[in-house]
Amino acid sequence: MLLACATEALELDPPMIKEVMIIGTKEANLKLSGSGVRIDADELKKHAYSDLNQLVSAVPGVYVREEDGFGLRPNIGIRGATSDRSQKITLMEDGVLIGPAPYSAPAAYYITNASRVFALEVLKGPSAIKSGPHTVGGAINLVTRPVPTDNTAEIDLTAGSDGYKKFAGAAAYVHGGVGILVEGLQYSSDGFKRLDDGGDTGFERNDINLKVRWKPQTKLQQTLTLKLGFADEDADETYLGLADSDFAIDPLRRYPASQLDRFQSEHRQIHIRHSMTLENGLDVNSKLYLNEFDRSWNKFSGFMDGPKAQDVLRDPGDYLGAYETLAGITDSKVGDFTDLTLDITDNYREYRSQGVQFDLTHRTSFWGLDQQIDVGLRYHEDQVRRRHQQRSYLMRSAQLVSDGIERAYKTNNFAHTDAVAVSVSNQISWADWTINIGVRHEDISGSVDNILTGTSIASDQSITAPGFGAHLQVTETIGVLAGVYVGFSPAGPGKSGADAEESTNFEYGVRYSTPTLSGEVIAFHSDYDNLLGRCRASDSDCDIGQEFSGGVVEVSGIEFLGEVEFAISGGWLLTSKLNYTYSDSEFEESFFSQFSQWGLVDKGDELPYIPKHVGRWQVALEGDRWSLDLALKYQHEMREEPGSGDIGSGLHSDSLTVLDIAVSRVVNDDLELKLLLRNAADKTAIVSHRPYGARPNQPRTLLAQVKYRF
Amino acid sequence: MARLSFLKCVVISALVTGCGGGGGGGATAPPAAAADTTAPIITLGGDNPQVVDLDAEYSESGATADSGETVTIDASAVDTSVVGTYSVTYDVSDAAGNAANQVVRSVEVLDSGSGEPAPDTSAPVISLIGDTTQSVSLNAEYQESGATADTGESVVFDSSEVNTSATGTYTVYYNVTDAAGNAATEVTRTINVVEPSGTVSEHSVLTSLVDNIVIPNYKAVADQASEFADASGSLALYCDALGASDEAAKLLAAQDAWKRLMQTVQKTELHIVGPAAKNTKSLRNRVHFYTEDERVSTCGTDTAVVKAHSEPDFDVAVTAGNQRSLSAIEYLLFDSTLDHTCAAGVSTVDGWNDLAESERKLQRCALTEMLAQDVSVNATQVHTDWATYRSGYLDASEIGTNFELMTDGLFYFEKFAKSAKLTTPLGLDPLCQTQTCAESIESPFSETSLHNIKANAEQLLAMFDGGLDDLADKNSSGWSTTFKGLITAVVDKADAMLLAAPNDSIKQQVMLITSADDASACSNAYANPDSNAEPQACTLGGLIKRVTDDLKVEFVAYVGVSVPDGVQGDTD
Repeated sequence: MLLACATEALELDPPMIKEVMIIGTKEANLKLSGSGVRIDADELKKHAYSDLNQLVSAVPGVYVREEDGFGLRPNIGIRGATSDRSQKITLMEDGVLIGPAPYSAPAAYYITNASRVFALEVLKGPSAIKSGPHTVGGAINLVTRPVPTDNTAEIDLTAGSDGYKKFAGAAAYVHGGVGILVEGLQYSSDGFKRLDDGGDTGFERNDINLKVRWKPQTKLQQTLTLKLGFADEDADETYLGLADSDFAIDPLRRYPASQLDRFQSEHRQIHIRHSMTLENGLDVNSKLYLNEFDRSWNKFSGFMDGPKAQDVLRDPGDYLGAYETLAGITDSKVGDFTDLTLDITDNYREYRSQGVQFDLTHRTSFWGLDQQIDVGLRYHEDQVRRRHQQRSYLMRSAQLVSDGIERAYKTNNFAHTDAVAVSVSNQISWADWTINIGVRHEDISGSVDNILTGTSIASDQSITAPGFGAHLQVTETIGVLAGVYVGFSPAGPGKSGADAEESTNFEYGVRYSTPTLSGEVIAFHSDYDNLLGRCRASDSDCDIGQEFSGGVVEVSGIEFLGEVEFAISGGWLLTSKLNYTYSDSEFEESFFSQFSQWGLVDKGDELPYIPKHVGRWQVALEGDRWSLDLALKYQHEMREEPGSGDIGSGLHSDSLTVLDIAVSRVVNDDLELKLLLRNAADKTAIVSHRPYGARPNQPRTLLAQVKYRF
Repeated sequence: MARLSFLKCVVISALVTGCGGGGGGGATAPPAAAADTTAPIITLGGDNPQVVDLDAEYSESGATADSGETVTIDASAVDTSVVGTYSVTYDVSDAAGNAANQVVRSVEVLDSGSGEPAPDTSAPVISLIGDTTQSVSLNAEYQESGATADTGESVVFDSSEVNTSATGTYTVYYNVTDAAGNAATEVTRTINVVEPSGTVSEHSVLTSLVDNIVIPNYKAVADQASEFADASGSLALYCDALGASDEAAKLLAAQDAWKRLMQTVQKTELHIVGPAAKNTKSLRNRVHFYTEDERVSTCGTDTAVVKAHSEPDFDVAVTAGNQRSLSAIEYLLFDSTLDHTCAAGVSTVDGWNDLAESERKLQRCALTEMLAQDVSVNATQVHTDWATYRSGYLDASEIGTNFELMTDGLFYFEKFAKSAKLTTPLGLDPLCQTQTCAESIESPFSETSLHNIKANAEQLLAMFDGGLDDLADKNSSGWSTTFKGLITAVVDKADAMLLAAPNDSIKQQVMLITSADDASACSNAYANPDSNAEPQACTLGGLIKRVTDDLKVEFVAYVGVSVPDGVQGDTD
């Protein structure tokens, strides 16, 4: 089972791993009085996913909303927290906040490349309060490859459908107390969508990382690690989808109105870590970090003065002129009665996120109780500068032609946040009991300067959130757990009328574990005092970052995770893993919100983008040389607007069943070959209608991978 | 006749309800007893039809009117030298100006003396049975009502175009040829395939708004503007009376005519879509110039007066928008200061102030008449453009876009009726950077801004009542009653203000806000309109805000449209 699959890879350098991980070891995981899940390196390697959405789908309670099909900008939600641009969960790389500006602008337009993820932790329940600021759903920690203890090198070449190419290489040099690891990654695709005029729809990403680890020969056991990273992206990516009628004919089509759409970004990071264990047993982990991210997304953003693109693609027959303009069937009509000039806006943003954090762990024993006290301290500041330059284009013979009119900035602002976070938790072990008591406190002060209007708004928030969890090992194989905590997601700086999102979250469940059969069933219930909706540039009728209160909301569900293992003659091992999440959500108040994802809400309506059923079943047959792994994923249709009753009667995404197959052949200790067939049955579904029209999942894709270790 | 009666009603009701706040103008309504609206009835003497032999003389049998006036007879069409059927028309108007329904006598010239029947060359005439425009519910069967020919032959109809499975406007064609081979003039019937009654849709509501409100409103403006510009209209009579003893009385009559026209124009302000919106509202601005950031230029108008007098090829149709339209006419007609308003250095008006008062009035009147003509031409243009624009506007394939254009138009109530006309002048809107901003007021010379706001509110109510309420009720039963109540409260408040203090215009109230205490009293009245505090204009603003708050939230949600750009960022 996932929880138990401690692997050799992770044992390469346990102390190194520990300081970047939150859950830590397998034993800790089992006794965790909250439903955290860890996925280890071997598991992640099986399907060689470069899409983070796929990695996290192995964890129950996690919802994924696909967008571009490659997972370039993942949308991950946990237990009712919205999946929209992963903005309601805390995203970390090696225990450090990794979103471009987690407080000022939490939409995750940058996230560590999935190919670099070595291990993955998902924290839910009371364990989530160790990591903030967004604790309503939980946290995801992406652990990158540690510096190995021996000299080693590896290359990974992958090629496949739609011109997909990946070159990944890593080399480590170890001398004395110093270890150096260099990693390079480049991957690209020509894209599976097709522009009517044959233009590019693919992407290319580059990622270079250097890690230097130094273990000085001192009396104290200590390690200093420097991590430098650079990543960039150039993608012909768009928000514009299709009218359902066009999707039915060719789901992979892209309208000419999206032909200028291009996302370009650069990410730079410096992380310095220091860890030491004092003589009295106190572990001290210190981290100093700086992340910078610049992005430009030039993309179709609607009509300058025409109907909303979302409305047009929903009912093209009612907006024929506008629809035919998007599709390049007719030229933009301008002047007379409607103005179908297209708005192509470059959403240019510069982000910076930096801070220092200390994590102290002290293990002690008094009154006959084993105690572990964890204290976390973090000072963080982040900022976003938005300069959204609008440009106007006319559709002429299915080509976008500039109308030459100078346009003003659509958005020109600067948001900044300082935050001090403290978390204290105490884990008490007594007999078969493990009790966790903790509290998290954050003092946040933020401001937004609107350069267009010359106005500046400052705001302060102070939030204290406690948590409690208990685990009882009833028998050697059965444990039960229960927990309650207060989760929060701070309102962005300069909030106007929206309060911080707060939720009271409960969970309880049972775990069963033997070497060959294990499983857990956990029920959760989240009671939001005030759900927040946050406007993105692509949402209509709101200012970017503007927040909307959604009032009282309840989300509950059941998560199941199980694994069984059979040894078959001939050295073959058959494993089967199943995870499934049932979710039920409900707005408890009737209201109207100008947040376009909500709109008119009636009490009792279900939340959008929370699938009722989501699950994944994986069957693997592993031998000495060959292995076969099948992963079948199912996601139920999702509402794309609040509603009750028949989902099909409102705006909704399709249900989707996808089968991924991986066949692996270990040629020798150094060489491994892999054939990966994704979406083997070539199922097509509308994964989302937002922001503008229907967009597809990735179609059937065949990849071949060669991995060689030196 | 019916139209004239309707116009009379409009005129009279405007006089009774719409002219109370005319400031210094002191407008008075004519006595109601003068309103004889009964049309005379014409009775023909002799036969109808009347038969006349070929080449014989037609003898007129005459006609009488029950009101006693002499009936005007037009028999000029009768040609007894050619076999055929001719019409003689009879008309009369009574002393009160009521015109009778025209009566027509049919005169048949027959060749009865030749012994041979004359060759039948007259075409049969087709009469439709049932209405010439009919509605059929979507997916229902089209039932042909039939037609008859006066010659008795069966009329052939072609209804192949009618497609009841798609909403739209279709035509049925009727033809007949008589035994002598004469083909009748083709007659058509219009069939509108509509959503079944009882089920409102965007299409049915938009159709109803266009046919029952928008087009009739533009027709009323065109008719009134033409009347205003007419050589025998009250404006021309005033200009003719300059220097005469009844000049003042004629001026009042012309001012009243302007006020009535402006009230009709105010109705159209809530639906500036289609022809009126074309080319950044150019036609609308030529009829009435009042924009977000610009008001009529009095100096520009003063120079136009001079140019119109001194330049032989002066053409009002090519002058700047801010010196045209009813707004410029208002300045010329209501502002009794005859001196020009230009700053020093505008050479065009050099010497103007030295001219005799009578000469200045004469020159101003000349331009006013030109402007009135220009308004009439543009108002008529909007109305006639709608005839060709209508079918495209109601085309099912653009219903989403056009429905939204129509509802966007209602946000005039937010941007103009509330902000530009009321809360900005009162200093309640951030757009006003000083204590008050009187320069934003609409119709400042006639001081009829309150009438305008009331007309806007009435029109918002009429349009909401015209089917938008049914759409809203589909999503939230009963909310439409609440919303109508909010609008009615605005209308009632404006009525009460006009009744209690007819001369206390918005302008007067704005000018009374001179201190911080005054401003704070206004803010309080605005924030608590139920307390009915002074200044009343601020209380009215608070009541209007309740409407616009609902317009931006509940209205867009329940009717299923979006808030137009530029409204949402408006900070109240």
